[in-house]
Formats: sequence, C-alpha cells, structure tokens
Amino acid sequence: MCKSMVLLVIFIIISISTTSVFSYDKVLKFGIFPYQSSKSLVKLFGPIASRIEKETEYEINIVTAPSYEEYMLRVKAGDYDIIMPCTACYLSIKKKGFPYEAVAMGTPPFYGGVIVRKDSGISNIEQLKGEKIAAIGPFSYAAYIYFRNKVKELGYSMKNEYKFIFLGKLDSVVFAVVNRRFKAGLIRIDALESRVFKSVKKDLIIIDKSEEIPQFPFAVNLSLDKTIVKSIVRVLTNMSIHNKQDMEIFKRLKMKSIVEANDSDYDKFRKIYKE
Amino acid sequence: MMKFRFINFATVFSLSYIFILLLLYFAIVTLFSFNVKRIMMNDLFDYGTTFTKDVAFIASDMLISENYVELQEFTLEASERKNIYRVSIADNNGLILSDSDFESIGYNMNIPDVTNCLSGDKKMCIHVSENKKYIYFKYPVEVFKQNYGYTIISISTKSMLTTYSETRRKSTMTAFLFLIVGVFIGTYVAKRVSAPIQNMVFVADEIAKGNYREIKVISPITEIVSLTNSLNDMSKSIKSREHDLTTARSYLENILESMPSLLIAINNKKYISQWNSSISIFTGISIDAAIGKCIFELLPFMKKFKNQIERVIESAETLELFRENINNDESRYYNLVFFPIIADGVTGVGIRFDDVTELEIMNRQLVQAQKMETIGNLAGGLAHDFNNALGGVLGTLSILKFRFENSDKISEKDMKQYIKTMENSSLRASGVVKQLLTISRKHEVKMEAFNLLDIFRSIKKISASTFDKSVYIEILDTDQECVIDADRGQIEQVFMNICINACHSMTIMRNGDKYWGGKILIDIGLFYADEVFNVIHPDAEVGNYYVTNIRDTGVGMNSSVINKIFDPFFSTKDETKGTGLGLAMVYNIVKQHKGFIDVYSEVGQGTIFKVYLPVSTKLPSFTGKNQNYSFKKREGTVLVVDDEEMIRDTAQGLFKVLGYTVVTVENGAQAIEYFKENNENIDLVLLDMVMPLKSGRETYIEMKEIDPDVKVILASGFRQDERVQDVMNLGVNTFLQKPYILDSLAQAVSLVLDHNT
Repeated sequence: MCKSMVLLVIFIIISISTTSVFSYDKVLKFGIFPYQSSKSLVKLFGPIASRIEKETEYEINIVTAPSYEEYMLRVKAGDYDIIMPCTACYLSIKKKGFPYEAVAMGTPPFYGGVIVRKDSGISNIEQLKGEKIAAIGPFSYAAYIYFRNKVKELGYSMKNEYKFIFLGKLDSVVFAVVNRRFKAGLIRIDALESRVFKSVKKDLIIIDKSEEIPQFPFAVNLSLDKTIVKSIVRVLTNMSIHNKQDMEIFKRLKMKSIVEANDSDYDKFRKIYKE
Repeated sequence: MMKFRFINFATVFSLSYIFILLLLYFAIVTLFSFNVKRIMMNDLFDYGTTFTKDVAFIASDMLISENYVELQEFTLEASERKNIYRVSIADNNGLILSDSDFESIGYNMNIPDVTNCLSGDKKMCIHVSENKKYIYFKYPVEVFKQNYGYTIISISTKSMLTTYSETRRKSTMTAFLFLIVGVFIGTYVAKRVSAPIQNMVFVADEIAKGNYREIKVISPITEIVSLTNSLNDMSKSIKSREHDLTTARSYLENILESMPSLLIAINNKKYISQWNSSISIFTGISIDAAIGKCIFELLPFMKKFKNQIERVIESAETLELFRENINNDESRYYNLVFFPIIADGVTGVGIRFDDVTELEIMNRQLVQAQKMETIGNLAGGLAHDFNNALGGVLGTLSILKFRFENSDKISEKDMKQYIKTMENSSLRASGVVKQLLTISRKHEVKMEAFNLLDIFRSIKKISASTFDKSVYIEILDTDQECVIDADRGQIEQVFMNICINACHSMTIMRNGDKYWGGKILIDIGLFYADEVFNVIHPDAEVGNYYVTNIRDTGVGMNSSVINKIFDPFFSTKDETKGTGLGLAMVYNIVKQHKGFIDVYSEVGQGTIFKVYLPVSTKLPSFTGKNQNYSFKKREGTVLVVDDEEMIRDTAQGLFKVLGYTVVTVENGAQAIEYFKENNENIDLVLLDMVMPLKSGRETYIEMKEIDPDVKVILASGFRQDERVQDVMNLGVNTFLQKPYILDSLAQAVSLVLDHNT
C-alpha cells in the first residue's frame, strides 16, 4: 500500500515534470493509439514523423500509451499535438468532445475478420459457439466490435455463447490462434500480409469479414497552429505510392495513399459502428 | 681493495635459484594481480555495459508509452541487482524521469565527469569516479533514431575490489607457499647437482697436484656424466703427456748432462737458467749454486764475451768462436757456440764450450804432416838450389886452395871477387834454408793483420826455386795493401798448397802430354758480398772480402772431381805424390778464418781457385824488416855461448868488428860459471838456444837468477817458432836467426842496447 502511494506520488511528479518538458517550443507530441508494441509504432511512424519535422522544423516525439484507457485519458487531457487513434477511438473522441479533429486519412479502407487454423474444421461463426476467441480489445472495431455486432444480428448471445479474451496486440492474437491456444481470433485482416506472419499465414483461413472500415485518421489538437496543421497535412497528402520511400511507408501502414479528411468522412462508418 | 671470497657451486646455485624464484614470485604475483584486476574490471565494464543497454532497451518501451510508474518500478528493481549502486533514467534534456534515488526525480542529472568517458562504443560512455569506488555507464534510450532520453547506471566497485584483494591475498600466500617449497627443492637439487661437481673439483685438485685418479660420479644429469668422462679422459691424457714430458725431459737432461760440452743457458738478464754436469766439473760450481746467478759474476772470464752475448740476444742468431782460451788457461782451447734460446718471446742465450785442445793438437800435427808433404814436394828443387849455392862456395874455395897450394899470388881484385862469389853463394844457401824453415816451422795460431801480397811475394820466391822451371808464376801486383786478420802461417800454407796443386796440374799430372808447364796467374781484388751473394754462399756474411784468384793452365777437373777435392784423402795424383790432405786443410783453414772458396775448372783448360777472406780494418803489424839500425862502433864485453866452434869464431870476429871485447865459451855450464864471476863486466850475452848438457833456456834462467838485468840475444838455426818463443817469454831481449851476418848482428845489438827491448 505504502509502495503504491509512493509510486502514485512519483507519477504525479513526473506528469507535472513531463508536462513542463513537452511544453517546450519546437516539440510536437505525436500520440499513436497503442494497437501495436511501442517500438513497432515508432518504427512504423518514424519516417512520417521525420517528414513532418523537416517540413515544420518541429521535433516530432512519437509516443503511445500503456493502454486504451490511458491513451484516451491523455487524448482527453489534450496531451498530444497530433494523434492517430483507431477508427472506433476517433468516433469516441468526437462523441465525447475531446479537442481533436481529423485532417487526413489513409486509403483504401480495411476490413476486420475472423481467423481460424485451416485444420480446425471451423468454417462459420456458428461453429465458434462455446469456443475461446482472441480479440485485441473492446475498443477495436475490426477486431471485436464488428464481430459483436454481427453476432447480435444473428441473434446469438454474445455474452453467453462466445468467450472473448482481449490480448491487446494484433500479433498476440494471430500467434495465439496458430498455437491453438484459441480456436479463432479477431484481427484486421490486411495485417496478415505483414512479413511477420508470412510463415504462419498458410495455416490460417478467414471465415468471416467485416464491412469496409476507413483507415485510422490523422487528427490534430484544435489548439495547434493552423499553419503547422497545413504543413502536416501537406506532408501527409504529398506522399505518393510512386515515390520509392513513400511506397515503403505505405506498405508498412497497409495504405496506398493519404488524403485530406475531416469528420464527415467517418459518418458512414459511424452508422455501421452502432456504438 | 676489494677482496673476493670464493663460494661453492651449491651456494651459487641455491642463491641463484632462490633469487630467480623470488623474481618469479614477485613477477607472477604482480602479473596475476594485475591481470585479475584487469579481468575483474573488464568483467565489471562488460557487466555494466550490458546491464545499461538492457535497461535502456527495456526502458524504451516505457518511455515511448510514457509509462513512468512502470518505469520507476523497473528502475527500483534494476537497482537491486548485484553491484548496482544506482539506476537513473532521464529525458533528452537531462531531467531525471526515474531514479533508484527517489529524491533525484524531477531534477537535472548531476553525475560528476560523466562526460569524461573512459571507454566504450560511440554511444556508451564509461567513467570511473575519482575515488575509484564507482563506475558510471551512460547510454541513450533510442528507438529507430528517435531519442527518448538516457540511462545512467552507477556500479559500485567495492565488491570487486574486495574480491580482488582477497584473490590477491590468496594468490600471494599460494605463491609464497610455492616459493618456500621451491627453495627447499632448489636447495635439495643444488646439493644433488653440486655433489658430483664437488667430487670433480676434488679430483681436479688432485690432478693439479699430480695425483691422477679416475672420477666415479653417479648423476642423472647427462652433462655432468659427459663432463666427468671428459675429465677422466683429460686426466688420462695429462698423465700420459706428463709421462711423455717427464721421459722427454729426463731424456734431454740426460743428453745435456752426458754431453762432454760445457753447457750454460742464461736468460736475457744474463742470469743462469741451465748448468750441466760438465760445466759443474769444469768450474767446481754445483748446479744449485749456479742457477739464478749472473753469469758474469759467477764466471768472470765470460766478461770478454759480453758483446757476443748481447749480439745473440739482439739478433737471435747463432755465433761461433774458435780456439778461444777461457778461465785464464792458455793451454787449452775451446770452440764457443752462442745460440739463441727463445721462449715466450724472450731471447736467452745458450753457451756451449767444446774443448778442442786435443783436436787442435791433432790438427796441428796434421797440418805439420801436410807441411812435411809440401816440403817433400819442394825438396827436390830446394836441394838443387842448395847444391848450386854450395857449388858456388866449394868451387871458389877449390880455386883458392889450388892457387894457395901452387903459390899463385892472388890479386886483391881476384880475392874480392872470390869473397863476393862465396858470400853470394852462402847467402843464397841461407835463403834456401830459410824458405825451408818457413814452410816447415811449427807455431802457435796467431791472428794478426798483414798484407796478403806479402804472402804471394814469399810464395813466388819459394816457387821460383822449387817449382818446375816450366811453370811461371805471375802476380798482378797492386799498390793497395790487402790487409786481412789471420794466421799468417796458415794462410801461407793455404796458398802454397793451391799453387803446388796448380804446378802439378801443369806438370806431373799431364801424363805424357807433349806440352809441359804453364802459367799461374794470381790477382787480388776487393769484393762486397751482398744478400744476393749470400743466397749462393750461405757461409758468407754481408761485408767486404779480399778475393784471391789463382788461375792455372793445367789439366783441369770435371765436376765430379770438383765436388770431392776438399774431401780428406781424396787425390787424383799418384799415391807417391799426394796424400789428399792438402785441399782438405785449405778448406778448413779458410773456413776457420770465416772465408770460403769457389772453384771453377774445365778439363784441359785449367782451374781457377777463388779464395775469399774477410777484409780487416786493422793496420798491418810491424814486421821489423827494412829498418835501418845504426851501424856504429861500440865498446864493452860480450859473452858468446855456442857449442859450434865455427860459430863462436865467426861471432867473435863480427863482435870485434863492432868494437866489442869478446869472451867465448862452448856450453851453458861454462857460461854460468864465467857469468857468476864476471857478470858485472858483461854487457851482452849471445846465447845459442840448442846446446848439449845445458840448453840455452836453462842457461838463461840461471843467468837471470844471477843478474835479473842481463841482456841476452838468443840465436838459433830454427825459425822463431814456439820453442824459441818459449824462451823469449822468459825475458830474452831478442832473437837472432842463424846464420847471421854483421848486418843482422848489428841490428840485434842495436835493438837490445839502443832500443832497450
């Protein structure tokens, strides 16, 4: 108890300290939703951050959070200058009135889906009744919410007939299925094209697929200078698949281009989301 | 002055071994400690480096996700690892985000001299605190070029230093233990190793003392066994060599001791180092009394050879002296050889005395015999001349007798003519006898300077009356005197012999040749013998020689005869005409005079003898000839002692002519008797040397006892040889050769009375 108290005090001190640290001029915090490991996120978004640094002459500090909840708390607190939340997260941010708005988004949209081992003999959702299913988190549309909605539509009881375990990270879900710890897993299915899963992809099949889901938005803090915002948007939208370096970035982010966007671009999905 | 103490091998070995062990001990302990410390430090560095990188890696996730609570927990957990003193994580601006020391959180990082990196890679900075208690590791938290801050780990060296000290203490103790064991082992080995060596040393000492014995050493060390075997071999070899040396030395000593020669060896300081039995017997000085003494102090008579000894020391060449008298004994003759003895670069001198008295006597007898042979060769001619002279006297006397008996008055003119003829004939007969005496006389070897030409003039005179008349002698005279230092009689014998041989080669050796006779041509020249000449004539010394060439036109000789002509008893003549001793004698005499002879001959053409004799720098001795003695009227009393009445009468007449009163007696006894009573009135005595009853020698001795100042002229028909000289040595004033005439008598009187000889 005493130790917890001490840690709490430290946390507060550090929070105060870091706030002061990041209030420095010329540093922009780029908070990315923790959908992968922190180092993977830095690796994925590092090149984009470098582009923005060059354009704006601001240092871009890529950060994430330990959890969905923590991330949303920081977003709520406006800790980040630039964010890239999950699609469902963004709808939640907007719904809760957090001070961020989308300025760009990737294309094309992606899909969520259910993966099982080929040798499992499972070919539809019904067969998963009573089985343990791995998912990323309750906030993930592609890797949980879509499946929940579909089960509801089919008239099944999500609570009684399906057992979900949230593993937090996409790669955890994939390898959990491959290793037969779970009969099925819910993931963003274009993730299987990643080199990480190249060796295991052949053992898996997709038995169900969600509707079209728009890519995660690039959103900025409403307090951020508009000039900087324009510069950021210009950097993002100027990236082209015909550029070799841009192509590499797009490939990692499972995108083909980044276009300018706003909240209305998520309206269609908002209807599907049925929060 | 520093004094060395000798220590034995075992001590040297032990001390060296302990010294080396100590060195090794300190070296190993130092090296080991140094390496242990280095390894421990490296391990600590590696540990710190790895740990810091691990912390940075783990912390990166927490920094990216800004999970500071978890970061602090991790920091606290990390700081509890072994040797970790403190863990700090700061952001890019140095603000501490997490720290094992809570109080530092939120402050800027303040670690002294962290920037002063000791080592590490490009990112890692390692720094050691001044008191060496801590090592700081600083490493960035970097993810794909995104820098999220720094990790700083402080590691305490206390544990490491404690471990190091303990390790060093244990290693020192262990090494010391090994040192002690090593010392014991070394001492034991030294004793084991040195035992056979000490045994060898003992035996070597014994060998040095001459006690040769075999070493028996049991040792596992090959070198010692080999050394022992070598020492045994050496001992045997030395023993054998010493035996040989002792035998050789004994042999040589026996030779030296048994040598009849007197032998002395001296060093360059003239101290005696060798003294054989013969010289001990000769001098009566034992070897012990002689060795180490100065030769000139021990044997004063050697002082006269001082120059010769010095010369041998300087030149290192052998020097020979012939017929020397030593030890004040003139009755014995010695040949002396001074030869260099060179040892260790120092030249000493060996002196050998060979008693040649007997040889000399024999040699003289031989010479005399050979002279007699010469006389035999010349006798015919001499008899002929003597008869001719006698013929002149007897013929004239017969005329006078006839004319007196026939009362034929002889005019004064005729009388003078007869007297003149008889005088000339008598003088000629006297001359013939003189020549005979000259050849046949015995005499002591007497070295004197004289003119060689005088010899040839004499030879020419003799040869004129003795050689076959078909032989003509010509002497190419020279105005210059050719003075040599030699025994006149011997040199005369040399050339007489050569001339006789030349004469024979032109007469009796022609063996029926129609042609008879020839010419002997004699000339003398000066010759310088240089080094080149010495190569051909090893006997010659560099210097001036008179070379006498005696050429004849006789039968000559072939080369095989020439090679033998100087051999004793070699002769090509009839046995009745030659003994073969002549040229052998010639060779010996010339050699003794340090001369040498060349012979060139062709059969049918003749022979040339070239006789080289060293030039003398002395003036020729005074011969007494050609002096003008005053021929004046005198007065006083002369006692004439001679057994021959005719001689007494002649002498009386001659002395009367000179103005003296003459008393004559016929023997020595009468002379003594008369002299005892009248010695005060006797001014001069003419004493015949050879008389019956009492000889001239005995008579003179007694007269001398009566009157020590008695003036005596000794007269004799013999030449002035050793017999005459013996009497002369007693104090006789002068010698008068018989037959004497008024002129020679007047000269002798003048010499005694006027010149007081």
